[in-house]
Amino acid sequence: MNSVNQTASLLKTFAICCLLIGTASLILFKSTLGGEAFTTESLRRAEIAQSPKMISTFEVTDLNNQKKYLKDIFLEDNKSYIVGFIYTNCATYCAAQSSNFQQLQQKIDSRGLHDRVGLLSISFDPDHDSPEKVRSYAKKYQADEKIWKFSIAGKDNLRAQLFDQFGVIVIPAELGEFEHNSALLLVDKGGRIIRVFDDNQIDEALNQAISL
Amino acid sequence: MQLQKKLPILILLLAISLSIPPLRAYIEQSMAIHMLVQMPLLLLSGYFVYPSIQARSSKFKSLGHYDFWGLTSFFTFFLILTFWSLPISIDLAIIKVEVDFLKVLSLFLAGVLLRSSLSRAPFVLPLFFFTYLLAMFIWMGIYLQSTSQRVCNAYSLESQVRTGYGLIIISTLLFTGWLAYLYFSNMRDNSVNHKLH
Repeated sequence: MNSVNQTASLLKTFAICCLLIGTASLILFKSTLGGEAFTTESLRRAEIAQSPKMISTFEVTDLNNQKKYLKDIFLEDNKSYIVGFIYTNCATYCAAQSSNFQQLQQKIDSRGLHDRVGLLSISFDPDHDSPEKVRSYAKKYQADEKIWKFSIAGKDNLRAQLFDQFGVIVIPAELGEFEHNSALLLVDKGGRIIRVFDDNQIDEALNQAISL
Repeated sequence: MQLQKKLPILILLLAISLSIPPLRAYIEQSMAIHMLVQMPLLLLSGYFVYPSIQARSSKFKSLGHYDFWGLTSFFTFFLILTFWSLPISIDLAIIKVEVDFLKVLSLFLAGVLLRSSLSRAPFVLPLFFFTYLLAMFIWMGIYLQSTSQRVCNAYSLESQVRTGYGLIIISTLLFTGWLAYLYFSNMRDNSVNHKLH
């Protein structure tokens, strides 16, 4: 290669590299919300904080074995809901979440907030969690039907649905357990996810639920 | 000779089979198998397949005009790797089949590009870039094994810690191995030169 050729080649390479790195930075910038969110968890929280997310056609079965759209629960009850995802075999996160829900239930009851805030636990394990099983789970946690409701997610395309609608990732693990992320979702009476809280932020979640 | 040609295909098939049930359960349940087995296998298969692509395609040489010192190849390789080391990308590859497909394709390509970059680069460039890359991986490994925050929603903290240690060990081995290779090949070249003089 002579030197003219070499310079031309160097320039071409330089131009392409700049283009490449520019495009990649742009993609990275967009997909991480401006470098704010590198994990799926922070990304879903930032996205929801930016603009509330409408729950569309997520099908659930209630404890009376009635199929319905999740959104209709919020619309019918006309109050905001704190929503969590569980499965009854779970020994760790969900158990902690359900005892948090128990505390929340007490607070709602003692402050007379029945008409303004509800609690909803959704099982994402429809293969094992029958309405009867979830009912006895609810009994174990002394759930008061008027405050704390339960439902079971429909089976169709469940994994993709959970991720697309709620940013919940559920991966089957050993011994019938699941690897999943756990959080409290605050849903308003119009069926929009307003905010995502950590499992232990029950007071923050309740306060914001009342303010809606 | 036969084996040399078949090897990259076998590695590629093994890597792809990890994305298809029933083996898919392995990458879904273990971050280490996903990041430290499947991803490197994809890179390796691309790396080993490079000579046959180069031999077959007459156009390949002219691409060199756009790949001075292998820089374009290197940066593409580097960006692909950076993308697949992000927790959001890793989660997506587990949740969405189409993203997983993209992962398989792009990491295979990254392997090809790595070799093409090495074949065109003068000595000092790879030394600089790989030191940087491996330092980045070691840093990432240290972060993964020490943080108590789950970075991927798809994996447990345990799996993440194991991946962190694995990443540190593999990157350190690669780095020392590569330095040793450079040292010994340099010595051999010197002794050949001595004999010639």
